[in-house]
Amino acid sequence: MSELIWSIARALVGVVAVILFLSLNVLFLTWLERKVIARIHVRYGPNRAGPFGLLQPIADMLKLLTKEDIVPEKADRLVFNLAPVMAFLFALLPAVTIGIGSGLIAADLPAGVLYIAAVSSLSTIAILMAAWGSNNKYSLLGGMRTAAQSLSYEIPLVLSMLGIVAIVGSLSTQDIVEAQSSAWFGIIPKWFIFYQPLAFIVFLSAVVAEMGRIPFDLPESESELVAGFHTEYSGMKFAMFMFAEYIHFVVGSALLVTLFLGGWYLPVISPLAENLGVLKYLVQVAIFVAKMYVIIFFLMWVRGTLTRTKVNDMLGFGWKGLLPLALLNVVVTGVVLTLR
Amino acid sequence: MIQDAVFLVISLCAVAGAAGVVFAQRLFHAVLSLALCLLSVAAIYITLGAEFLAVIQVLVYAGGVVVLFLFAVMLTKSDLQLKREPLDTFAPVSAVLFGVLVLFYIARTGFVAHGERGAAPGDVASVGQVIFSPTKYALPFELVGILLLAAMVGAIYLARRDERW
Amino acid sequence: MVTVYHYVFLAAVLFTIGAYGMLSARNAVRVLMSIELMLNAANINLVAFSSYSGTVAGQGLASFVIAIAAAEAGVGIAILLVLYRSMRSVNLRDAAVMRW
Repeated sequence: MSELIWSIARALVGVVAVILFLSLNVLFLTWLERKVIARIHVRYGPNRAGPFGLLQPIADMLKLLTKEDIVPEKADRLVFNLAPVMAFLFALLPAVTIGIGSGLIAADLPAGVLYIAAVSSLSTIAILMAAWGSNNKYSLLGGMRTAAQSLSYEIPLVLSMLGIVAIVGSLSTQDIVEAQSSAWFGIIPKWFIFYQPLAFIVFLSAVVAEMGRIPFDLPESESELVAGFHTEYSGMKFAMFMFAEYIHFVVGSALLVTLFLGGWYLPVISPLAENLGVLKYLVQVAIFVAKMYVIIFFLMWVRGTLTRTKVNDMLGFGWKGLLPLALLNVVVTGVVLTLR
Repeated sequence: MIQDAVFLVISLCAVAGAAGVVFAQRLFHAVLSLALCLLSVAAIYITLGAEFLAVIQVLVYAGGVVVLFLFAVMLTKSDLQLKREPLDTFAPVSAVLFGVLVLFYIARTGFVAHGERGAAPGDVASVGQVIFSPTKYALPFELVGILLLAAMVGAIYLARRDERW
Repeated sequence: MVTVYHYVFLAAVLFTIGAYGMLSARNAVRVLMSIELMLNAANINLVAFSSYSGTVAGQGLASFVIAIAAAEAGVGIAILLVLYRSMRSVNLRDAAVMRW
């Protein structure tokens, strides 16, 4: 009995820690994104609330909380109100199996990577709920685009992870990072980005499409669809959609770091930090978060630089470009692993 | 004790979802309750220790099939033709009779359980060994692959909009 | 104590609901969904027997059922779209003619 209570307590602590980590990062990200994009546009960005405008996210939150909560008259009320909650919950689910340090993971599932692929496909349902429930043509068009986009990019996403899984021989994210934690000559890390460069490119493109960011932000391209599936949402519900979107951003970057960039391992520094005792975990988290923000900055840079693609180009790129590349990568990895 | 309660809650969710599929007035709600039912079935698989199947259930059904059904509801405008379907008198009666008959025969059949619940491993590796082993399911696996390819080609051929190729 | 009977009972209930839906529904989408329910009921049985008898074979079979159900849904919905395009409705009572 006490064993059961212990495991429930551990799960609770893990979930609370995941939510805290994500919330802090999301709050910081909303500020960082506006600031980085502003600098790329040669503007200042938010600089009134607090030093460097750092308190801007809190001001935004307060504003959204006090806004009127509007439900369109012809909306399907049940579906309309349920959709933001579902979007938020489904966004949280994949984060549970991503560790930010060795053992610092809410649930180290044996089927980790497969689990992430499965639950990240759920958020399409929430978006279609929002699209249909709003009873608005722009919402519906945006929702249809999202569904088409996430269905077609999920296939190369999953296939590009297969090569790594085959090399490691395990689906657990902890094992995948462990497999990368050594270096040639003590300097060049054995990260999977060097073993699987093709998979890295495919995964990066597919994960950007899954997040729905520029150049693949067709679901909410404001010049044609107002705001896509969340056109009719205001106040707290809109905030939940934004929150879910940024959680996708954080989780996607964290997954990229875990799979291809060695997670919390950095050559030279990590071996030194091994004999620091408890401080070791602090170093691991710092390395992981630093790598995550490199990816996040890169994606913001992409957003500030590129333009939006057309729908047919984007779907064509997914099916005719990424899918054959991902399949080729699987075949080549399989042949090399068998011959070795 | 707790396991019994968990099983009860999950089964109630599954049955409620299934009932919603059949009885929900609006078809969109019916698809959402199908999603609830399919996720509950995934939870049932977890209680049986079949974690691989649970993940596959979520991946294929909740992520793929449910989205397909949502698409179908939207594209065929089924929700806009809201006529109350006239209820057959015989259909519910025969369904209840059928259910009672099935439950009666299940109760009469003596299932011999060799082991405890979760006696079989359900992780990815052990299921993979069964599916890919040449002496067991390797041939059916290949056939399923061909079937899926045929289904994909057929679906694309049927759903294409223009007649020219 | 949850025995194998509980799972089989649950599967029987789901199958009955699915069978009723498949036979009584007028809308073709609902018919397809009811078929998915019945396939899932069968799957619960397969996995339950596999789990209680200690052999993995049932789970392999269940994964084939999932694959075939997905193929069935895809082809079924493609047929529905064709039906909708020619009949402007997916009510199965409207599709009773042999020619038009």
